[in-house]
Parts: sequence; structure tokens; C-alpha cells
Amino acid sequence: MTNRIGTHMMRRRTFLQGVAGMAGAVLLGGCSKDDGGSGGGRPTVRVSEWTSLGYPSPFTYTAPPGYWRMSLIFDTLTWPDSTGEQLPWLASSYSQSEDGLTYSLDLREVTWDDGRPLTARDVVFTYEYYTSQTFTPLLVGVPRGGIEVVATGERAVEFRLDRPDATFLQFVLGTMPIVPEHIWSTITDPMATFDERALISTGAYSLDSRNETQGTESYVAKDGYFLGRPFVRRIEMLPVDDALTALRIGELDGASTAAEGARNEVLVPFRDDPKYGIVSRDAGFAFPLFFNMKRGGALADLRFRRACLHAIDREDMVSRLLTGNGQVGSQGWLPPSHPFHNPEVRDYPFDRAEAERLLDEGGYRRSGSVGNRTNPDGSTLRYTLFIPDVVPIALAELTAASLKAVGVDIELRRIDLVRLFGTKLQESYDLLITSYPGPSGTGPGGDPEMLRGVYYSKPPNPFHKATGYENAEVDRLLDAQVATLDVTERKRLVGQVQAMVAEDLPVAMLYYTNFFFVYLKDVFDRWYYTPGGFGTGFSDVYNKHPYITGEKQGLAMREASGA
Amino acid sequence: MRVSRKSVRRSPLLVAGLVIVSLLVTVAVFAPWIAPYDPQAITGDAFETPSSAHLLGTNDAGADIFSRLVWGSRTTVVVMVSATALVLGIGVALGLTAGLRGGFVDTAVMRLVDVFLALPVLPLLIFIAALASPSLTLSVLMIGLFSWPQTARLVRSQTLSLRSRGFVDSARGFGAGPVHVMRHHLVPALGPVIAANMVFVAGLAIAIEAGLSFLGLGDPSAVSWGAEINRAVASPQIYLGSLWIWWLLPAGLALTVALVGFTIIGVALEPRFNPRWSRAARA
Repeated sequence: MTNRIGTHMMRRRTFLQGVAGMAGAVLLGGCSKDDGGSGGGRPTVRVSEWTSLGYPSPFTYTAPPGYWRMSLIFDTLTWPDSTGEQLPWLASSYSQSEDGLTYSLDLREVTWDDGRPLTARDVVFTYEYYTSQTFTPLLVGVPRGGIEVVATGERAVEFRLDRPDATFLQFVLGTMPIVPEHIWSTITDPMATFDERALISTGAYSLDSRNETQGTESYVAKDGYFLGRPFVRRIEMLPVDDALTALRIGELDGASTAAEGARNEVLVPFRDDPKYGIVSRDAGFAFPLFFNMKRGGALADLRFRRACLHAIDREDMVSRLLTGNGQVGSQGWLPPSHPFHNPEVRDYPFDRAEAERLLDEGGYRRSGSVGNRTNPDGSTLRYTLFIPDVVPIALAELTAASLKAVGVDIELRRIDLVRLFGTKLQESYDLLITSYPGPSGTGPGGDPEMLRGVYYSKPPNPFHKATGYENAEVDRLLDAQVATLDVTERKRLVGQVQAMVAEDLPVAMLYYTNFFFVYLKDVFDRWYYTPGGFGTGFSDVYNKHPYITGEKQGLAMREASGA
Repeated sequence: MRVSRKSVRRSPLLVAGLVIVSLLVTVAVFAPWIAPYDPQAITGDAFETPSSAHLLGTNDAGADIFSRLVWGSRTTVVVMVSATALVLGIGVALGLTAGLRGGFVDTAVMRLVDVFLALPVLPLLIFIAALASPSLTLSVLMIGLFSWPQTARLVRSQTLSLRSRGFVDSARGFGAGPVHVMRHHLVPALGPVIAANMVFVAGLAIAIEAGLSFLGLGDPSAVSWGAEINRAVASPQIYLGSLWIWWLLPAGLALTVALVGFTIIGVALEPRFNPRWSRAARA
């Protein structure tokens, strides 16, 4: 059986333009005030800028926010909307063979900025170009190898996989930006190319201005975009210290709460004012506590790790630090809101007596009920807890206080992001609280393949690896789940992985924070968080789909009322 | 030149400065008795507003802000005393040696002073603190090791002046060695200059420690005013509510008042101890 997706959709540009016109007409008719906020639409949207994101070519951006900016300029073969479904984007349609080993795509009639047509050769070249280079880990959308890409026609292409891959659709077709062969075939060092050639694309926007010193960027829509005239005409990224404050004083049109979470009092002024809208998602970020099991001693002792988690009142953390805007961590890593979450995994509720019992049982003694414990060899049970500056110091203090209460002496050590990379990769830490997503960009709500990065013996990107943890059965299950296309079966396999790692506890998930995005309704009101994220699972709100279409779903194009 | 009781009474500026610094030291010494709580202890809910239980409310973790303010003075005083001692120790020893020995030693020490004075101290401290693991000891060492050149230069110039005085020559004539001359004649004569310099260095040490902590480069386990300011301003939208009044403002005020205290002592002592002022007064 062959699944044909999207063949009914807009095979011809003229049809698209017609749809865009109809969408505009519908929009103009629907822009009344009683539309529940759907009437908003101004040509320019201003959001806050992240610094140091690199030049927005497909090979020089850094980190997920850099990918977002790059995605405004470059297109992928598919792209998700607010349902999480991968819509045919540069592809007019795509299909998957029954064995899951072949994906066939037809391309739209699209031209590059320099007027040359997009062909199947460009797609073949893009994949081969990616896989022939070595990129920095901060380039988060590099496709895996082992795929043969064949041009089967002028605008027809096939991806032939060496094994079934449940992530292929999102991680390759929905993530890999297609670049023009006639430009990049002459460029031998893509990571050192920063001129205008590097931005020749098919995308909806072009870079209008970029000032690295001031930290500003702006992008303007292309009227001749192949899907129609983009709804948001101009996107400005401005440097601000506090995005929510900048929103309140009118410097921005939309602002996210920090990854470390948001308390209710920060949101109250926006909730009370009808001109603002708020979208939110559970588990935008996660805060795991890593035990460096390679250090041996108590860190490699399951009783110690379990005792640590029992000693930490994570419900109090969520209440105290986030006023409830988060969830207590699941030890299977995936948050409760994740479709693959296994609710049956072992839990470690706050129980100081149980923590003390486990430590006593492990031979970590102390005289009386206060003071530091000692290891079985007589040395003091003392560890250094590393905290990168993206982690709230209050979280570190609460963790340290909890562990000290059961006799584990903790010294706090603050490190910056650069040192975090070195510390984690060199495994030179005892305990480490970090924030997730990291360099992979996949948020805790992304594809369950993210578990490979944490629990696999030799993950492709070791930054999130649970240091010292190896479990052959977990490896086997992780390999099996990614090759399983049946969702029910895959869910069962992923559930088993969660259950096993929750038992072994190489990492203790403390909590997840909710994301909030606050926006001015009359500027743009179609913001959403993409289920499963966009790209390789970026959990932020900045999916380009609504800017382009002006809608939350599908490819119908809406016309801006103020354009 | 001595600071007599009479001269103190005549200088309200000096009195005010001494009162502030004495208060700072007193609060630091008696912090365990003044602070109602352990500054690290979680004693309430997060962001409690001021009450009789928590005079300045609680911070983001639920620790008592007043107690952290009181204990912060201890960090300030510890850094101030340690760094000042280090600066004076290095600066006076090298300045005296250079001034007394002259020749190659003098040249070598002064070139070293030139090199250290040419270094951009604050950016360098930030760089080192970012590379090394932040701790109070590191802060003290960095402040001490990079702030001594001015003291050395001042002491050396005064030593050159004193060396040619009759009492030094007399002591040497009676067979006193260099160490004896330093201990019994030069150091006592340099006392007022060193004291005035000490006030300057103490203020500088407080400012640098607070600056490093404010930048997140201080010891995360230590309670300090700079770290408290850093933490408060990092709190989202702190200025849009009243949070800043009872969290950010007290730490900022405490730091400002302490620095003002040292500054006005320095200003009050300058006319008495600075040789240039003395010469100007005689003229």
C-alpha cells in the first residue's frame, strides 16, 4: 500500500495564487471584532533578537533560534503546521512505500531568487553536500547518512533508505533546507561563506538588514513566493534585555517567557489586558540532574541516586519557582504531555525518610540525624554541583539544600555556557543540572528519538549523554523503535525504554517548565507552538508557517489587512 | 602626621565615614546574632512581601532577604580585609625594597609596576574569573595580585624621600641594617600614607568583588551584595512590580553606602596625609 499525501494540494502556482486571493477575501470578511481575536494583521512583526546566531545561510547559523531565522529564507521539502502534520512545501506531494524504505516526491514549479528553476538535481545535491561535509554540532539540521537520493525526473526525486526510519519525514524532509546546486557546487567551504550568494533561495523572506554590532536583523517578504504573497510582510528582530517588558512598553509585538519558566505574577499584567493574547505549551524546557556515573563511588550506586531523588521535593520546586507553571519530571525523560509518555514508569516521590534509609543501606553513615555522611571508605560524602548560567540559581540552591538535609554535602559551582560544553563533554563533573533542549534543539516534546541522545551507549551527539550509563537492552530498544513505523508498536518500545531508564536512574528529571508567548493581538494573532516542534523538534513558537500563510493550518494564504 | 581626636572632631566628613565603616564591620562581625535566619536556609515561600517574619521579604528560592543582606556584609568585609592586606603586603614590601635598595632592584620593580599598571585590570579579572572556578579565595587573590602597583609606587616615592632624611642616615651610621631601617624607621614614618592608601584599596576591593559577583563571576555559594543584585536584576520584570524595592534596592544601597563610607574617609584624610597637600599647605 502506498500513502499519497497532498496530491490534492496546489500542484500549480496559479492555483495557489487563486487560493491566496480567496483566503484574502475570506480574511477581509472575517476581520470583525467579534471574531475572537482573529482580525489582527499588520505587515510588520517585531520580536526579540538572540545574539550570536551566525549568518543565516544553511551552513553558518547556530542553534535552534539560528535555524528559525535561516528557515525564513530557505525552504524544506515538507513543513509542519499547528497540527504537527508535515505539509508538502517545496514538494507538491510525497508518498512512502509500504516497507518504509522509499519516499517519492514531486516538486513544485519553483524558481530560485536568481530566476533559475528548482530541480530534482538540487535536492540530490543538497543531501550529498550535507553528508560530504563535517559541520559544527551547533548546526542542528544536518541529515543522517545512509540514504540514497535519486532524481527520477526533472521535478521528481526518491529517497531510498537503508533501513526504515520513523524520524525521516520530520528530521530529513521537514528539516533539510534545499540549496541551489549551481551556487553551492562552486563553494568548497560553506561554513566560511558569508556573501549574498549564500542566501540565494526559494524562501518566503529575504534578509533586509543585519547589524551584528547592534544585534538587529530584519527580513522582508517576497511578493513572488511560490505559495502566494506572505501574510507577514516584514519581520524585525530587535535586541532587548527583557522581552516581556519590551512588549509592555511597545517595543515588541510578541515575546516569550524565559526557558527557566515563568511565574504567574509575570503573566498577570498580560492576562488582565485584552489587547494581549497568550499561547502556551507544557514542557517547553526540561531541567535534568546528571550523575556522572563514570566517577564511580556513590554516583555509580543506584541507592545513592535514588536517595537523592527521594530527598528533593520537586512538587515544591514547581510550586515555589514556577507557581505551578510546570510539571514534575518523569524519570522516563518524556513529559506527561508527550504522546509517547509512559505513565507507569517508576516514580520517586519526595520522601526524606526513604532517602535516609537508602543512604544508610548503601553504607553512607553519619552520626545522628544532622551533619555530613561519610562514604563506606570513611571520606566525606561531598560532591560539586555544576550549574550553568542558564539554570536558575534558586533551583541549584533548593537541590543543594535538599541533599544537605539528608547528609550529602554539596558545593555549588557556576559555569557559563561555553564551559558547560567542555565540562559535559569531558565528563569533568560530579553532579550537573542543565537545561534541555541543548545543542540538538529537540525539545522534551519532540520525537522520542531524543532518548537516544541521553541513554544510548554511544549517541551521535554526546552532549546530553547520561555519563557512564550503558545498557545493552536500552540500546536495542532504541534501535528498534526508530525503525518501527507502526505508531502503536513504537509507543510500546519507547515505553519500555522509559521504564528501564527510570529504574536505572542515570539522570534525575527534576521538572519541566511551561512556555508562554505573549503577543499583541492586533498585530498578529496566529501564533502557535508546533506539536513535536519544527525542524528537528524545536519547541519554540517561531514556526514560519503562520507568518507565511497567516493561518494556523494548511496552505491557504491570507492577505494582511494593513498591507 | 597623626589623626588626632581633635582633628577627627573637626572633620564631620571623617566622622561620617568612620561611622559607616564601623557600622559595616560591626554588622559583619555580629551577623550571626543580627540576622534572624541562616542566609542559605529556605525559610518561607518564594517572593514573600515584607512582614514581621521577613523584614525585607524572601527571594526567589524563599530565603530571607534581610538575613542575606546582613551576611552579605561579612563577605564584603572578608574580601575587603583580605584583599587589602594582600595589596599592602605586596605593595609596601616591593615599594620599600625598591626605594631603599635603588639601582637594578628599583628599576626592575618599577618596570614590573609599569607592566601591571598597563594591564586593563577589570577586563582581565573578568577573563580570569570566567576561566577559573569562581570562589571567594580567587576573588581575593585576583584583587590583591592586580591592585598592588599603585601602593608600591607610592611607598617607593615616599621611601626615596625618607631615605635622604637625617634619621635614616643616623641609623645607618650606627650600623642598622636595611630590615631594621625598614621596620623601625621607614614603616612608622610611612604609616599615614599607607593608612590613606589602605582606605582607597579597601573601597576598590569592595567594588571589584561586587562587580565580579554582579557579573555572575563570584562564588555561587557565598552570600554577597553583588550576587544579590545580579540575582534580583535577572528576575523577570522586576521593575514592573514592587519586587525591586525590597530585593534589589537594599543590596544596592548597602553597597553604595559602604563605598561612600570609604570614599569620604579617603577624601577627609587626603589633605592630612598626601605630601603634595602638605607642601601646598606650608606654601
